[in-house]
Amino acid sequence: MSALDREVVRLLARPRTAADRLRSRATTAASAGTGVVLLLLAAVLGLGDDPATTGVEVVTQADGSTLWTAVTPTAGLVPFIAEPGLRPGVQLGALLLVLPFAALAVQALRVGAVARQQREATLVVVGASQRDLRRVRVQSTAADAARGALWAAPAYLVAWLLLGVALPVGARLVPVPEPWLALVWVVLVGLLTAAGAAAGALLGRHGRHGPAPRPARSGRWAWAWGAGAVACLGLLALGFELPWALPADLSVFLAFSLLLGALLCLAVCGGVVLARSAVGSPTRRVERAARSGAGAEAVLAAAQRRANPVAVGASGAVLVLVGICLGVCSVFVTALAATRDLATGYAGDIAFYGGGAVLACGVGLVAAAVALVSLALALTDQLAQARRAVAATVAMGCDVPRLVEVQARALAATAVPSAVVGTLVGGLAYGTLQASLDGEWLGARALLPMAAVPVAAVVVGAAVRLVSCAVAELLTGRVRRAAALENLRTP
Amino acid sequence: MSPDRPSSPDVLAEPAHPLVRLAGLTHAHGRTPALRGVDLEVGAGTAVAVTGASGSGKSTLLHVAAGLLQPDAGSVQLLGHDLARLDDAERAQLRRRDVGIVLQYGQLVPDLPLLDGVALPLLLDGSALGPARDASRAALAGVGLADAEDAVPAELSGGQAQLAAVARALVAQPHLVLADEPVASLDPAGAALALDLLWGVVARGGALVLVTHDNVLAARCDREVRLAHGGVQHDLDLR
Ligand SMILES: Nc1ncnc2c1ncn2[C@@H]1O[C@H](COP(=O)(O)OP(=O)(O)O)[C@@H](O)[C@H]1O
Ligand SMILES: [Mg+2]
Repeated sequence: MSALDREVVRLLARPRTAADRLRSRATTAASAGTGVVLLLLAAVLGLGDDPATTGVEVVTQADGSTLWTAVTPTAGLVPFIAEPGLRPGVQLGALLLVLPFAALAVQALRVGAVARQQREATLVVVGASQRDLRRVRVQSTAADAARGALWAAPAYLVAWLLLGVALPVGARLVPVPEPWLALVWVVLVGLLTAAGAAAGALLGRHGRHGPAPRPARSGRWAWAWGAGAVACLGLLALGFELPWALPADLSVFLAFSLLLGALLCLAVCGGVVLARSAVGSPTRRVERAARSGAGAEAVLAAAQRRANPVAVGASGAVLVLVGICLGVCSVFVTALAATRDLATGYAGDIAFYGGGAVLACGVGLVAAAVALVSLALALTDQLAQARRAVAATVAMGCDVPRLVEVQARALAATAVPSAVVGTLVGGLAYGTLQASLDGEWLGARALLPMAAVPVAAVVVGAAVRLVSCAVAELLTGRVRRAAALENLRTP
Repeated sequence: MSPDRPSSPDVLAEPAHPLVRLAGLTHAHGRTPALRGVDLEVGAGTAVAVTGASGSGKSTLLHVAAGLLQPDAGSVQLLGHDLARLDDAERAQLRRRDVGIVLQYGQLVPDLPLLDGVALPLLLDGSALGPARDASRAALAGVGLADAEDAVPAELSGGQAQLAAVARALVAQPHLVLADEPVASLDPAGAALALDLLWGVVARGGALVLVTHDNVLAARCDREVRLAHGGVQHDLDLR
């Protein structure tokens, strides 16, 4: 069998359409994001307990317990990262942050999928084998992933300058990049490139006789995917925590794993419920939208969500997790503030724990933004696929700003409920747990921090709605292209 | 290279050997039956017109014959090779080397400039970019599109796209051309140009299967096979 000329593979893999370029850029960005997070994880994992890099010294006391004392900090890292005992939480957070970037990568690879399938069908007509098509796909996805992985190191340096060097000593979030991190980077470039190639090979697999339109999928896949994701992440997380926890703190370890498992299950269930509700009876949905007087935007938004159950579910799951994180933080911070008058001597502690909560919220917001961007990618992709219908809608008098509003609505319809439910569940669960564990808080005081939960839910809901609008605005160009009237004559 | 390599050079040395042999072809699109047991043999040096009303199964027959659709029952032999016995890569090789396919709506790769789009059968066969482009340039000139080599399909008219599709089907000098309404959206001059090129394949000892609803064009062929409801209604020798 004659093999494709390398130059020809490049010719066919080169991004040409707007969707191709967006797919390429989004894949690169997702790969870069994953790379940075993994570099950060590696940097934290590699810190060890040398006071010169951590800024703290570990003293083993006579009774065998350990004590950390601050020495002159050279790296000046925040205590969460500096103190070996607190590090697993940060590592777990970094590991979880890979999740939204992976979801973004999956979504990015699906941009323009229908157009690509049609293109591949045409190539089959002129004599491309499935192997040829796979080679072309692998070439493009591997190149995008590699480019992203290459960007990860400069991005880490920028992050180190902004969130390390620029911050005051004792508040720095990003460890100094040691020379060995370059080695990790090289390995990462290889791994991410291989992952990109594998994704390209798996993408758009079809039968012996070339690409055929996929049958409409039922909702059952969502459970399977969800269960698989939980199992993988759970195992990974356990693997990470194991070395620290065993054998001394077995019960802590078990409690921690149970909590983590419950969280992940909750998030995945939330995602699945959302995905199923999105594909739920379209007529009922449209009826409801019409009855509520929401008008054409709501009807169109419902249709868009319906066409993207996978993206809706995945983003929903990430946003539930983010909501839980924000809910817990809201109770935690309120409780801290409430105890301040009682224990003014612990002001340092308040700054310490409050800083941790702010950090967790920040990470949560990054995850939420990434999840919203990937959902927006999916929604506008559907718009691009249906561009003739969209152009016809515009020709009938629906203007572009209104279509952008439809995007914002479709985003918010997924994002707001997941984030709000997550906040409520996280806040109330944590508040109850805290109140029941801490005898001192029992009584009226125990309820006080819980009062923050509804407030937090409202704030989170409003913020997510705003971010949805902002993301929709970002994609105006794409909507405009889909709505261009010349699309009326494309096949 | 497999021993059962498609396109053995002596295929055409034996004129009696049918280039196309379809036996008992049955195919349904989901639950819509499109072909119900079609038999057809096309020998070297013949042009066969496939006619019939809209929806009679002409396009489906062509797709199955080209190996783009798998038949539910029956067999397809092209140039002596049973498609069911070839793997995907071998079928692909047969298509790009020996079979030129013109589909009803042109089906050009949407984002490739014509020069590369028409060169695809050669490029996919492992040819380097330079020589493939030279051949493509010549093929485009042959259909009067020499000036359009940098255009992408969206910039072409329907007729120009169809001419380009004919050029692409012929660029690898195939022994067999399967064409679905190749001149339906062409003006008379363009149609004459495309048809002359297609008949060139027959003159070189190849075969042409031409789906058409144009009686004048059908009369120019050596045979007319008329389909009705997915079956052969009649098979007329016009010579
Ligand atoms: N992709 C498809 N899905 C479902 N039915 C199809 C499809 N393509 C063709 N058909 C049906 O198969 C029958 C034959 O179609 P076709 O081969 O395209 O006819 P012709 O080319 O003679 O007009 C018709 O009834 C048509 O409706
Ligand atoms: Mg037809």
